[in-house]
Amino acid sequence: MEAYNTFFGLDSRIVVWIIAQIHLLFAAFVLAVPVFALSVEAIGVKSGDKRMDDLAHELTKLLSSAFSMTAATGGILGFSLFCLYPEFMRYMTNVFNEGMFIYALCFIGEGFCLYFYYYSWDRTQNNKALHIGIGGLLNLFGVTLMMIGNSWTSFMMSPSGIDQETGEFVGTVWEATTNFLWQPLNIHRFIANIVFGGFIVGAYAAVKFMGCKTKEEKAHYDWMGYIGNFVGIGAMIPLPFAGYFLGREVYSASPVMGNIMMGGRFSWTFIVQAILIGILFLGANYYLWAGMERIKGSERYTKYIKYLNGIIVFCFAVWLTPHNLPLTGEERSLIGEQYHIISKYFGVMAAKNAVVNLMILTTFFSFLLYRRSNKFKTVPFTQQQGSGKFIALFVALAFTLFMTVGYGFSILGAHVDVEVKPYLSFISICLFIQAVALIGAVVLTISNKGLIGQWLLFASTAIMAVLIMGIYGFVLMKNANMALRFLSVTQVAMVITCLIMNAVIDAVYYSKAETSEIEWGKMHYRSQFALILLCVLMVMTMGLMGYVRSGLRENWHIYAVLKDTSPWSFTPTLFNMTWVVGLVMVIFFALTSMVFWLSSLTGKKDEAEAH
Amino acid sequence: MQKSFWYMALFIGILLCGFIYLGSIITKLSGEKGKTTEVATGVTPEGGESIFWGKGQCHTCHSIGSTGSGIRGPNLGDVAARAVSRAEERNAAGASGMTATGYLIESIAQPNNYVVKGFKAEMPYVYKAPIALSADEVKAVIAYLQTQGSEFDIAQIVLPPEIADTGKGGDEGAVAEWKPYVEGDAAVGESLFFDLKGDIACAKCHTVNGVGAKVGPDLSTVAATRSAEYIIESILEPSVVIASGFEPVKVKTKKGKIITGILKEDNDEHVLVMNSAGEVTEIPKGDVKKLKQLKMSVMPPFGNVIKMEDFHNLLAYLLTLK
Ligand code: HEC
Ligand code: HEC
Repeated sequence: MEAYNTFFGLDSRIVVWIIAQIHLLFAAFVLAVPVFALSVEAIGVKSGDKRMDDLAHELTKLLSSAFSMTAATGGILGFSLFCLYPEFMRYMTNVFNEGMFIYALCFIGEGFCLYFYYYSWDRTQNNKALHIGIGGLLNLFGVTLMMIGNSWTSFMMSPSGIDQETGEFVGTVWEATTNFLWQPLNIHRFIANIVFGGFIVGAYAAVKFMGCKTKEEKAHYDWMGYIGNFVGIGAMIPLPFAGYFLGREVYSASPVMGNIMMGGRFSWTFIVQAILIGILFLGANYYLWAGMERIKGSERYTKYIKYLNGIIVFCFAVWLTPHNLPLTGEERSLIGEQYHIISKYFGVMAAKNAVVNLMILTTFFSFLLYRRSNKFKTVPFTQQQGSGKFIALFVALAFTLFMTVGYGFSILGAHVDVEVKPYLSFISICLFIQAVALIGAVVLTISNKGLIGQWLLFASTAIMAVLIMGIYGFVLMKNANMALRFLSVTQVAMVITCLIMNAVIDAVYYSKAETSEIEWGKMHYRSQFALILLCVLMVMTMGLMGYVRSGLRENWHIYAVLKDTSPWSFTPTLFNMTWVVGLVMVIFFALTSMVFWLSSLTGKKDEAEAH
Repeated sequence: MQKSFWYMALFIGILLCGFIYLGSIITKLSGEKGKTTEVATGVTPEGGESIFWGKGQCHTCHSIGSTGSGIRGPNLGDVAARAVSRAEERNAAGASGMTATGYLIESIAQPNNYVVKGFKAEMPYVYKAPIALSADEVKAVIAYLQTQGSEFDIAQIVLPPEIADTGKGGDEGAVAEWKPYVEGDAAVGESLFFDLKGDIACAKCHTVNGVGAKVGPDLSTVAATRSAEYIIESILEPSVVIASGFEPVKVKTKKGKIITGILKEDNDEHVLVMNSAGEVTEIPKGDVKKLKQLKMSVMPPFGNVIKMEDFHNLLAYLLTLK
């Protein structure tokens, strides 16, 4: 038996790459949209807003045709792997045997639930609990499918259950499944899929919006685009942290692989990633600001936008500054390392962490501005009725205190050299200060000064997580490398606690405020391109990161166990990558347009019946 | 719907072009090559240097003096000098009669026996997968480390069995052996090699068993000294690794004439450059204005010229040359 075959003489790897990436995009869609639809439906039930229910229904309609695309591309992917890489697949099927059956069964389960969820929509209007239950089951199957699929790819990166001497697999399916990188990959992919789902829905709404004739339609799709964007950006905010976690675990799994990723040939891909994500943040902010057009009263805030703009552009620039341009070791050994003064300070991780956090804070700030555009006179906290807001505030406070104080103590208790200790206590002191700021913000909110509370929190986070820690990172780099990883987690913890607390305070503070109507549909045509842009960027980023994740193994099918001895066991250049990902994107969008068009056919029928 | 659909398609098209353009400029900037480079080595400090900065991945963690940017491991700038005191420390702790070189060997064979203060025990076993250096490559790297603060002395490098045995069967089970994925016909390959009228005609430049020209290296025993992957790469992308003694150069004379080819000799009197037809040009040293190493091998890349089938026949033939 041959170890490798070709498909009409084509480069087998590229064939598999393209098919796998297309499959992945559809799978992400089919995973994310049900999560989305179900939440929207649940919110609709809770708030009694019929619009929500209709939106969920419309999304599910898209799903049913996307689901068959997922199945079809998955089948093609399976066949092509078995035909083109038989030896590798023999190894994988030996290892994952039962896992693959469970996968197939889950797929059937998912299909069943999906169609049931969709077709029973109208009948179960009076039994929403059942319908939501089915939706939950659908999501359960979806997530299980994703996790099983992830276990294969993460096994290829960090195989477990291997006899180190012979390289043979001696473990159980469960050991292989729960390999080292499995959970980090699950978390990262799940969140990224939600982002993708949000942006796809946004892009769909944008295209529909641009073709709308009536005012009602316009209002509907404008609103839908807004929701899609909201979900996408919301899920986007924790994504860098999940990515950071995954990256750190890659380092722990294999420092060699970690270095290939961040210091080796793949470090360039992160520059591309930074460009894409930076544009994405710009696009998202642009859309938010454009959305203020719909709101009377937003004039009060538009003047701040140019400053926010400035901050984002600055962050983007720092983020892009590469640390070391000449990349290969050989080149380095020739010319020596000479840093330009800018890249010396802005190019390193400490500075990048700082600006990423600032960018997230700024985007969150624009979102708060957007939210308060249509709010006017507020009701002081002490005059509001009900205990819900107390509960919300205290749950948020308990959680954020747990994050800051808990992590602060765990840093103090970390086993490190005595020389490193003082650096760590500085970091934990910052965490404790943040905890005090959190408490202060809550106290201020309760005594009717919610806005000041928010400012306090923004200020303490920006000063500590961005400014002080950004600078402190350089000190650590010089004196106590070991402390660096605690620093970045601390920055993250501070930013997250600030986001959570400020969001809750915002909700409480404005909960009974006078509002003006949002005029959905009153949105410039141009702004819709921002939604499309976000979706395109997301597809590109997914393609890029897929290339990195897979490429990190270099010339191994299964890292350090099964060598790739095919003629294609080299790393394609970034240029090759952009071509392949571009092609994938074109095919994916062509197929999705078809899917959306197909589902619009039944929509027409429904309308016709209604008349 | 119609018009907005086309706007959207146009917009996506523009973004796509931007993306591909970005890929192309970064690839140019970074000088990436598609194939992984397998560095030609000898058991010398120079061979070790190229492993250090390449295949061995050492540079991703270690710097040497002010060269490199690896910070996860200690700077190895004067490691050989430091190794003397380290060995004493190890001897005091119970190792028997460890020398400075012995310490260098130990830090590669059993990196966790002694963990340098301030660093984590994360130096990999570089002779095991995934880096998987061969015994000779490890020797070469150690020779290179010896030159960092001391004199190199290959005779002192006696590898412990766990390294010396790598690649001698112990590890083979772990790593599937290389196999061609299409069987070629060596006899057909041989005729392609020597057919001077064909497109392939390797014999225009290479000799096998005394037949052929001498522009490129003699290939009579190529399969004995080179791996199959290396040979494949030499044919498809010859410029990735250029055989030593066949470095391409560009010479600019004072009169402005430009001569490119293989540098055959370069001494105080003259420079000899051989072109791809085997003609040698002599340039008196006084006439040479500039001599520049080129990255493009004189051997043309055959990747786009050669048919799949011919390629495998040719490869089958080359693999018989032992
Ligand atoms: C993944 C990172 C990594 C890679 C790759 C790596 N090392 Fe190391 N190396 C370390 C770390 C961390 C230490 C310090 C801890 C220890 O002593 O084990 C170290 C220690 C050493 C030491 C001892 C230094 C001293 O001051 O005593 C030598 C010698 C060494 N490495 C050589 C090499 C060589 C040669 C290679 C390449 C073949 C290499 N290393 C690859 C991380 C790495
Ligand atoms: C124009 C002259 C020319 C032709 C034609 C040519 N080669 Fe070469 N070849 C060279 C030169 C010069 C080198 C040394 C530089 C290098 O490694 O790239 C070389 C190197 C090689 C090497 C690497 C040898 C080593 O020890 O590193 C192999 C293998 C090889 N050639 C095979 C072939 C085959 C097979 C063909 C026919 C398809 C061929 N060459 C055609 C000039 C040529």
